[in-house]
Amino acid sequence: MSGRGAFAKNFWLVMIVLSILLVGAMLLGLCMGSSERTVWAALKAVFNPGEGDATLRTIVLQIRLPRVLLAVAVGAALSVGGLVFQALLKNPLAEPYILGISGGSAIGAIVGILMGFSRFPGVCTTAFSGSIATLGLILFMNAGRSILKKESLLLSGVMINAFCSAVIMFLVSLTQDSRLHNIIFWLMGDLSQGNIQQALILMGLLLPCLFIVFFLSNTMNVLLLGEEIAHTAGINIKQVSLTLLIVTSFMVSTTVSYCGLLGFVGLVMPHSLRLILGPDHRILVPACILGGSAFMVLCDVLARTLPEQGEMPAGVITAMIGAPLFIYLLRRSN
Amino acid sequence: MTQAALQVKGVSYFYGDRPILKQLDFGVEDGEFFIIIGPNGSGKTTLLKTLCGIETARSGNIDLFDRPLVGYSKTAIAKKLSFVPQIVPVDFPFTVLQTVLMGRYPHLGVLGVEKDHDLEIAMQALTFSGVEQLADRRLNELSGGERQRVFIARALCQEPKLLLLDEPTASLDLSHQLRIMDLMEQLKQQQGMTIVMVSHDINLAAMYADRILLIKEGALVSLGTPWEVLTYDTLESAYDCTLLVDKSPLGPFPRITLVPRKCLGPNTRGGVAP
Repeated sequence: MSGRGAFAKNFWLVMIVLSILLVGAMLLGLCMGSSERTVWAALKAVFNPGEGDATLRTIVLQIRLPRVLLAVAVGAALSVGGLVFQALLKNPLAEPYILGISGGSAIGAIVGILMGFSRFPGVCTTAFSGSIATLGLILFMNAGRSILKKESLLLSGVMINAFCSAVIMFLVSLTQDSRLHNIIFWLMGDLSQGNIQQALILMGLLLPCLFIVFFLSNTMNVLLLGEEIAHTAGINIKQVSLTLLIVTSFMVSTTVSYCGLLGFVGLVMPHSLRLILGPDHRILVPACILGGSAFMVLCDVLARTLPEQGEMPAGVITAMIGAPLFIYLLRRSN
Repeated sequence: MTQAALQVKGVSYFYGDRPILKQLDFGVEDGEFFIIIGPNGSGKTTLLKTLCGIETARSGNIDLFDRPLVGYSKTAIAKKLSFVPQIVPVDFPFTVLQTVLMGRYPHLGVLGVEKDHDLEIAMQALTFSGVEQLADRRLNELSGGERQRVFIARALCQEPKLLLLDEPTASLDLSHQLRIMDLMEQLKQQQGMTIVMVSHDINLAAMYADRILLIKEGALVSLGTPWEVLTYDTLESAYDCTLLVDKSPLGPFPRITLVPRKCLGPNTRGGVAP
């Protein structure tokens, strides 16, 4: 019987496997790049400053490490964000990017950038305002009607996304100076701009949010059995849902202000992990944190190494993997 | 005088301006099998949801085990009563055991990790409902009757004193209907559980209920033993159709037969005394 012992055993087994995967992905992220060296050379350069290659050491620590850490933070936040939206809206297709929460954050972030705010707290705050405004709009549009209706929810997301794109393009077209290229590259989901300080701030902002979601993971399980059962099991549904939606919007908007629009991560990871591990959120939340991080790091490695010259934004890779998966899921769910 | 599990005093509920429940007064005794019947749209489900605190009455009071319902915390209510809804979403396919274990929610700490004791209670609930062999199956693989018994097991795993069920036999085949009702009878006899059930099936209500509450358009029509409530006059006026009420060949309860128009005749309407 899969009881307490089995739960703990499963839990730790999953955590160990995914941790190994994450560490492997991070090592790969540190070693792969335009200056091709072996894993050992990179490790030696970092841990043996006397003997190793000094240039390589600088590349690994100053350029690749911030990127990898940024990818870890972003991957975890977006995967958990997708997971929470799917649980709260009881819809396996819900995701911050698809619903337009990311788009709203991006508008806020661009406004912040154009007004010359610093990344933190300025741009983060405007991005958060943008995400909350979109969230409010989604809830308002679906108020009264059942938000569980897949089609109406997705349709409102499509419309909000289209509107956000228009506003973004409007803002971009107003921009004349050199910031234009940066904004466009950032919009596509770019991890290359980060430094170590930014990566650490982002991680510091996300960590408490991830803890809150983890503490509410069993509550999310019961919520999935419907409002009547959740209510009579002693859950304050409004309070829990609002907490989760706001925390998730904060995570998404923060990652958007640092790394732009990385689509479909929140769809790919929660869905794949749910297929393998089942719907228990006490396992899925930490699994999404580890698995989402590893996935994002690997996507960034691909973005760096696939083009012969230069690199492409990581968001291109995540969308190329995510969009077909979304279509497949939509077909299957009908 | 036995203790009251529920005491409903002047409860009204409005949906917007439309009254759904009108000034209801009744009590449910501890250990009683209490069935609420009434035509479609009479407010049965709303009443049930009001009784367990999902909906809040606009006026009136509800006492749960002699204390006002509004004075309980949500967790305290969850330890007194549990609810079996008519339809439960199964988009996220938990296993049967996982589902039943979720009944432990109000008894667990923050992270919600179950201890051996919780697993024991879940296994007892599974066995009692006769679904222990399904423990590792997923919810979306089960038939309607199996699923209903799983959600009854989940409710029992919450260790309530009062069990509320919303039409648990609706859309089930005959053997599953009987099985669910026998399960309720057994719960009442063996564990002294108080059961409040909304039902469409008057004959099942007649055979199992200690008392029946008949409501129509949110107002109380009749309350009492099956023989007191299920009379020809009461039923005909409440349901607006022709019925035949006689004594069941199985025992001391009324039997209700629907009378189709083609069978209407001088001898086909009416009822018998107990």
